[in-house]
Amino acid sequence: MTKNSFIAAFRYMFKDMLSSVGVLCLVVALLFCAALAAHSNLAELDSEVGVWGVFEFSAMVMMLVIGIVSVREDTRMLLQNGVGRRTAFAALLAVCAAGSLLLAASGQLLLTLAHAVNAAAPGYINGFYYMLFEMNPPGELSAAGNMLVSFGGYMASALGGMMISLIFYRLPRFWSIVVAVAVPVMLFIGLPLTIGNTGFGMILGQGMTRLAALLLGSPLALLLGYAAAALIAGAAARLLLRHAPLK
Amino acid sequence: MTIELKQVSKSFGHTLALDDINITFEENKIYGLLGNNGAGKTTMLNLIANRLYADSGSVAIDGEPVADNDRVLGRLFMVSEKNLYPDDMRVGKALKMTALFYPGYDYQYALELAAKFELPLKKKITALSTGYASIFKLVLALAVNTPYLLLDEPVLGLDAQHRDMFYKLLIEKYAERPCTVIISTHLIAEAANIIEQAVIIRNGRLIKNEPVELLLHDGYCVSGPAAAVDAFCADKQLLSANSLGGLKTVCVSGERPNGDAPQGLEFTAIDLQNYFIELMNKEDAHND
Repeated sequence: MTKNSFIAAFRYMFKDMLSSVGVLCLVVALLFCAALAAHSNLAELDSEVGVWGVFEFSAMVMMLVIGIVSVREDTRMLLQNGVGRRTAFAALLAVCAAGSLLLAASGQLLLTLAHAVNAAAPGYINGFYYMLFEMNPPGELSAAGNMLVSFGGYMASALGGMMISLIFYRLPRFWSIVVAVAVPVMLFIGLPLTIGNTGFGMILGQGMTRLAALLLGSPLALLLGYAAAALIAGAAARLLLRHAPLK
Repeated sequence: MTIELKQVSKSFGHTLALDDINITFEENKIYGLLGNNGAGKTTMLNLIANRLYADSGSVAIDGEPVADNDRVLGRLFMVSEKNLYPDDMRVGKALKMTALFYPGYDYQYALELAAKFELPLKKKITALSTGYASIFKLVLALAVNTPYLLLDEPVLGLDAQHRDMFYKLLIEKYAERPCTVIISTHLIAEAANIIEQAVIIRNGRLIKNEPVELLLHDGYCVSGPAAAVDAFCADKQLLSANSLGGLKTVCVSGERPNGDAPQGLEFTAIDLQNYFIELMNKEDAHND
């Protein structure tokens, strides 16, 4: 990897990332404004009714899609311009990290602004992790904690997208179709049937419940979970890209 | 300053695309990479550009392995039929952002070439016709100023005028800034004027790697009335023969006789295309 190639690759990819982050922030800001404007008397808002997790879920989906699309498209473009796969992947990781950081900070800013405007009913527009960890003691979630967990979620989404994209890129056509059909069938039909009707399924279900409880028990646990997911997905993506032929 | 392939083999499933290739491309030379369809030309270029990985052997540029090596990958530019640019990228943007990756890239010259070829800058790359898609890549290749240029069927879809323009521009560029150019082409007759060394591949094996002058030294063509040509060539080894009406042109093996041709006959140099065709015919006969 040369410094110049890395910087060139980063600069090329970061422009698109910046545009995507900007558009998302604008759209969510407009959504927040619309939500606030929909209620003329903010003081009478029922605290159980609200707008939660809009930014976080939208941003995670956006990063997932960016991961899916950019790992192939940008790698091809960079290889055409003399940048090897290793540098391309490193630059893509850096761009996703920078984008995730921007998203985490922007999300926090939008939430803070929404709370300031909506001081009479601060629970009306709330972040997903604030809502989640207020229901799970101990402790409230600080702004820094919220940003950190959000960052972890965005990176895990991006790297998960890359891994999924590269799995399909490397598979022959027949196996691509098999995987595309088999995985959703297993997840949404096979797994529930197994959990509900077999001894092994019950053990699996209990394990999954315990894992979910562990991950959602504290912001730190969730962050570590995101980090583990990002690491596994990232390592898998790197291995899949390593000797990938250009198609 | 070389590109070196040592004992390189590459297979795709059961198809052996390249079989134990050993070759060195030296600096500041124009190579013609010639071969039948499926001979392995594109595979060879893709291995050099690290778009593919060899099953065995090594590919090195300037003594360094090419795999994931930005330092050497940044010293070459490859033009191929595949479009590796994003689907939504426009020509103008691609021309502009190439400067990010290649310090020697001459953006102004690229714009001049685009104007010369009437390449539409506002159009998406994927919306270009086959010919203009080739022109787009050729504009970049001519403006990028890298020490190594790999051109895989560079004039695909180009009309005769644009092909002529490209060859002239390539020669001008080569004269101004010598570099190593490897052109893989089926249009041998057109490219023969600029090729210095011919690398001929067949069924994944290297069968010739020699200066064109040397290859063509061993033969010449005789043209004239069919009877006179037949009489002259009675004791000679024929490479190829073409008749049109009462006239005949025959390519024969051997050194061209000194002095004037017999009355009614004309001697000309054998051309690379005829040499290539005859070589392939010989190989076919040998395999049969």
